[in-house]
Amino acid sequence: MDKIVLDTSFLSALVNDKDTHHTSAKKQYAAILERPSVWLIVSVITLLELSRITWATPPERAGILSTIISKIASEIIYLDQNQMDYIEQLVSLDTNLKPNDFCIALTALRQRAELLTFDEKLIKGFAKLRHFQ
Amino acid sequence: MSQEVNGFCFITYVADFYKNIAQICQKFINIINFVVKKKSVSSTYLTHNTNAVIGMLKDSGGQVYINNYNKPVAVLVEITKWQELQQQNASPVKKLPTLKELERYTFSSTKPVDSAKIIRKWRDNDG
Repeated sequence: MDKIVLDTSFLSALVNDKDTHHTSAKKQYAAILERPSVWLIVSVITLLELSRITWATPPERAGILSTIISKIASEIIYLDQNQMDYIEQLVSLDTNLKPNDFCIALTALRQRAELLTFDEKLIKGFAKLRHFQ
Repeated sequence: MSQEVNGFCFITYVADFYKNIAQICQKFINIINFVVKKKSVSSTYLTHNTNAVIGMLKDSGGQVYINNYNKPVAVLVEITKWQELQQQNASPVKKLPTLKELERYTFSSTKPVDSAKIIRKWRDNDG
C-alpha cells in the first residue's frame, strides 16, 4: 500500500480553484486516485493550519475540514511525547525547518510515506532529513 | 495519540503539543503562561496559533473552556461534531471523492491565492 502524507499547501490548493497550485494539485490527486491501494495521512498540524486559512469563511473551513477528515484522510496523525522528543533532537540539525514543518516531515519519515506539498522549503528540508536518517 | 479518541483527549494533546513546542521556543511559554493567567478565551489575548486551535474547535461545533491546570495547560472541550467525524474516520478503507465531487465545493472568495506561500509565512513566523 502506498502511503502519502498530504501537507497543508497541497490540500488547500486541491480544494480551492483560485489557488496558484490548484491545477497541479488536481493532477496529483488524479494520479492518487489511479493507484490501486493508497493510504492518505494527514497530520493534526495540517488540520490546525487549515482551520485558519484566510480565503475561506468559518463555515467553509468547517466544510473543508469535514471533507478531509471524513472522506480523504485514511489516518490522522496526532503528536505524542516521543515525536516531540524526536523533534527536539532534529531541531539541532541544519535543515532550516520550523516546528510545524518538523511535525509534517517527521510524520512522513516515520510512516515511510511520500510527502505531497507545494512548499519548496519543506521539500528541501524533508530531503535533508531523509539524508540524515 | 491514544486510541481513546474523544474531544477531551484530542484537545489535551493539542495543548500538550503547544506546551512541548514551548520547550523549543521560549515565546510559546510566554504565550501559554499569559493564557493561563487570563483564564479566559479572548481573541485579543491569544496568538493566532492558539486561535487556530480554538477556531477549529468552534468550527467543529465544540465549546471551548480554558482552565488553569498549571502544567500542562488543559483546554477542555465539548465536541459533538468532532467526535462524529472521528467515528466516520474509523473506517480505514475509504472511497476517495472524485475530482468532480471536490469541485462541488465553492468558496465566497474570488481572489487568487498562493496558499503555499501564506502557509510558509505562518510557519516561519511561528517557528
